[in-house]
Formats: sequence, C-alpha cells, structure tokens
Amino acid sequence: MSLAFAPVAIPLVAGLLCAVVPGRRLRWGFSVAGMGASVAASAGLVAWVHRHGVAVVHFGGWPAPYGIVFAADLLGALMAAIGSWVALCTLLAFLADPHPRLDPFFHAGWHLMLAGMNGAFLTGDLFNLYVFFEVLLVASYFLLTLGSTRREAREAFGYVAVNLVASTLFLVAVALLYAAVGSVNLADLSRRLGEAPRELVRPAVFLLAVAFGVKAAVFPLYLWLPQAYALPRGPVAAYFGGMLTKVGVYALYRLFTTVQPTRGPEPWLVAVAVLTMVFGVLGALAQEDVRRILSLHIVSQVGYMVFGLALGTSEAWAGGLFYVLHHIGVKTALLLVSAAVESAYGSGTLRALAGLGHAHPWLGVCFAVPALSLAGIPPFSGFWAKVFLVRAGLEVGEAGPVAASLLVSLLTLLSMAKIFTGAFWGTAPERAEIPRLHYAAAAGVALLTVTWGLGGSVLFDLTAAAARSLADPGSYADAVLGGR
Amino acid sequence: MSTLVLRTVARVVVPLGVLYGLRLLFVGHDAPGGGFVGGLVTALAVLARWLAFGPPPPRRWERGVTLGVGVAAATGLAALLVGRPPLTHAVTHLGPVKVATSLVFDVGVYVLVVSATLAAVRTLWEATSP
Repeated sequence: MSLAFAPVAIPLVAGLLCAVVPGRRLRWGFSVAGMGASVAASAGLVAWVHRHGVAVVHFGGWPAPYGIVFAADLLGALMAAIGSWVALCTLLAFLADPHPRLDPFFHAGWHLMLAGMNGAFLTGDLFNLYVFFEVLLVASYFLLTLGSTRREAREAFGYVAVNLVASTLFLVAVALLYAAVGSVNLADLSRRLGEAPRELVRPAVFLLAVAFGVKAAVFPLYLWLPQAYALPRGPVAAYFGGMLTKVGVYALYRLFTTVQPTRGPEPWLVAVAVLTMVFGVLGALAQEDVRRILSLHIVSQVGYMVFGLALGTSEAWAGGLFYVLHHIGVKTALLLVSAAVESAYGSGTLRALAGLGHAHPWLGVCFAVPALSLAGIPPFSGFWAKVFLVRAGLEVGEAGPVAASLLVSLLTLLSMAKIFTGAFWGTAPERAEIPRLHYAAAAGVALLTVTWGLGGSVLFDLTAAAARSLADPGSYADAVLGGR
Repeated sequence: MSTLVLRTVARVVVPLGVLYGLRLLFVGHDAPGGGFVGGLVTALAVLARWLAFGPPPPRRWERGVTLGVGVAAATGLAALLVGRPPLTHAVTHLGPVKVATSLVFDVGVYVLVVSATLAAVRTLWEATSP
C-alpha cells in the first residue's frame, strides 16, 4: 500500500522543487501546495488504515523482516496527519513575515523536517526510525539557527550536543537489540524479544527509553528544552513546541506497546510522569517571558502523556494519545500567538506587553481558547483529555498520581491566567500591525481544540481504536510479516 | 600546509583516489561499495588536492546536492509508475555486463555525497581562514 509512503515522499519532492524553482512567489506556491498535498495524503492514510488495518510498504519488494518496511497503523497515521496540518498552518505564519534572503533554504528545510517527522511516525523498522530521527534533527538544527547571529548559533549548540548524545545512545541500543534478536524490524522484535537473552534486551530497552525520554523532554532529561525553544524565529519555535517532543512521546509509546509491551501500571514510568508534570509547571510559574512559560508547560504536559502510557491499559493509552493530539494543536496555537506578538512588538516579556487585548481582541481570543483548553476547562479538548486520563488512572487504582495531575492542572490555569492578565489586560501600548496570516495560522491550529472539544467523541473513537491496535501487537506483526 | 612532499604525493594520490571512488560506486551492486562510500572517497581525494594546491575554487557545490537528491528521488519513486513499491529496481544483462537501474540511483547518491561534503568543507574553510 504505497499510500503509507506518500506523507514522506511528498514533502521530500516538494522540498526539492522549492530548492530549485526561481522566484519567491512560485516557491511559496510550491511550498504551500506541497504541504497541502501532505495533509491530504496523510488524512487519506488515516481513513484507509481505519478501514483496512495496518498499511505496509515493502521497499524494493523485499519481504519483511529482511527488507525495510513502512507500517502505518492508526497511531502513526494520526500523528502524521496532525503533524502535517500543523506544519501547513505554521507555514502561513512564515508567509506573514517572510525573509527574502533565507526563503529558498527555509522551504527545503521545512519540508525535509516534515519528511523526517512523518517517516519516524510511519516506519516499521527501528534503524529506519533512527535515520528519520536524524533527518528530522538535521533539519531542526538548520531551522533553529536559520538567520541567527554567530552568538545565537553558539547558544543552539547545547541543543545539538544533547541530541547527539541521545542519538548515540539510540544507536547503541539498536546494535544491542540486533545482537540479541538479529533483527531491527519492529514487528519481528515484538514477536521474538521474549525469547532473546535478557542481559542484552534490558539495557537496550533502558537506553531506548533514555534516548526517547530526552527527545520527549521527560524529567530529569528536559533541561535542554527551555533554552532551545527560546532561540529560533517564532513560527519555528511554535512548530517545535507542538511537534518535536511529541516525536519522542510517540517513540516511547511505540517502545512500550509494540516492541516491549507493558501490562498494567509501571511504577517507575508513573513516577517519571508525575515528576515531569510537577517540575514543568513549577518551572513555568517562575518565568516572566511568554515563550519560556509556554515551553516549560510543554514539559509539564508531556508528563500527562507519559502518565497515560505508564498506566498500561488500553483505555489509558487512548486517553494519552488523545492528550498528545490535543496538546499539539493547543501548544502550537499558543506559541503562534506569541510569535505574532513578538514579530509585531519585538518583545515577549509580560511587562512589555500589557494591554494587548485592547489593541488586538481577536488575538486575545486565539490565545484564550487554547490557554483554557491547556488548563482543562470544558468544553475544549483539554477537558476531555484530562477526563479520559483521570478515569483510566482511577480504574487501575492510581489515586495519588491522579490527584497530583489535577493539582498540576490548577497550577497550569494559574500560569495561563498570569500570561493573560499580564499581556492582554492593562492599558494599551502603541498599536502595531499584525498581518492577517498570523491570525489565520493561529486560528487554523486552535480550530483543532475547538472541534475536538465539541465533537470529542469522534477523535476519541479514533484514539481508542489506535490504542486497541497497540494493545494487540500480534495483529501488527501479522500485517507486516504475513502469517510467518 | 602546502609542502613539496604533500604536493608530490597529491599528484599521485588525487587521481587514484577519484578512480577508486568511482570503482566503489560501480561495484557497489554486488560487492562492498556504493554511491555513499564512493562519494566520500572521491571527496577526500578532491580535498587532498585543495590542501596541496591551494584554496578551492568558488563553485556552487550546493547545486550538486540538489541534482543528486533529484536523481535519487526520481529513480527511487519511478517504480511507482509501474505499480511496484518504491525503490524497486530492475536488473538486466548486456552481454557479460550486469546493468541495474539501481546504478542510476547510486550515481545520484554519489553526486549528492561529493557535493555535500565539498560544500561543507568549503564553508568551514572560508569560516576559519582569515
């Protein structure tokens, strides 16, 4: 089923075309059209997978586990679809204030990043996952430092170094698994990991968890994140904030469901999740800069997603996945609003921004809706995300962590209120113009949380179906390997 | 850096290196080698030339990157046109010579690797030399 490869092939080709076509308008046309095609292809993939089950591509016609496969299950297809949609909206924010000199490189980098990300979501091979992580990271290094001064580029070095270490651990783990099982095909691993020597498998799984934990920014591996997201141009930070850590979360889900399934609550993972929630939100309360507050909230929210994974039941995974998809929309929307403000006013500190609500009431709405959703206020998607998680947590008797998660969501509300009162209330500053496309970008992403809040059952059915297929790695393996 | 010894050695090593890189490219279908490693060897040979005979000429190596990716992507996706999975290749025999469409793919990779390596080296060269 070659459709499973389309969300990677389309951005690759589109990025290439953007690098060669002359003229800014034509380039923008190719770029937006390419993104649109990626969205359409990945949405089509979701529909196909929902109806027919796992979509498998055997590259070069070589059978698994000897050849390399793409295996799109509902989880991967959903992630690719949301990621593509958010990338399209964020592209509009770039269009709002373009950068003539950097444009040609930017488009190639942007599409390459999407190709890497979709590849990571759709591949059915652990080494391939590593490769797509690297594609994504190389593109992200590039986008992070695009148009920056020498000093800013040096500050990005911390992010590069952390990711290099994580990637090395990942590679070591892949080698260990290959030594233990003789395969890096995810489906093959899920079948044969049980009989492999434990002294190789246990350190490999641990190293994978650490490597993915760095990308996902879980406690205590999140310290690179606030610095890295404070650096790049606003829309880049918005997309990274929404998607980059979620690739790590996705990989953690893949690891602890398909490859090495957990059954029932995993105490150490629950502890990591709760600590991530608490430390993230406490860090956010101490900050004064809008972007830093928002990026520390990413950490806190990743805690909820890992909490869903840690509970180890199909219902909890469904809740956790709902949380992932909800959070991508909400967080990107918030960061896009802050990007619009920064590009118009040149500052992101709360004190400098008092009174924005008078000058730009619609921007206030675009901020308030995802902010309330982030804190879990009905009727937005964040409320349902938390309801599903709390219910799943109580079902397996984890009352303590559930209570902690509710407390954290109160603190989240407090810190959203701090941004809102600080930046959007008060006497108005001199009004600067904010291009319409910024509104379109933020509203396009914020739309996700509204629709999922009001029609939450549709998305929840999808994530529940995705979680059920995760709980049944046998059928995934059958689809990839055939009956063998 | 450019000493008599280096220049003398480079005169021999550079053409040999380029040839060896090309050889790796062509044998890669059945033996150890291929576009990636062949491209690296070739790039190293060119780099040796730059070290021995002075700074590289101002050339837009980035174009080679685009060209290489384009060729590789086109041949990789071409199989879709005949309804096969991507990256499927055909092999045929012209007399005693085995010819595979994957060679075109590999040439794309080769061009990409040579250009990307030399572009990176050139950028670093310019950034570090006063």
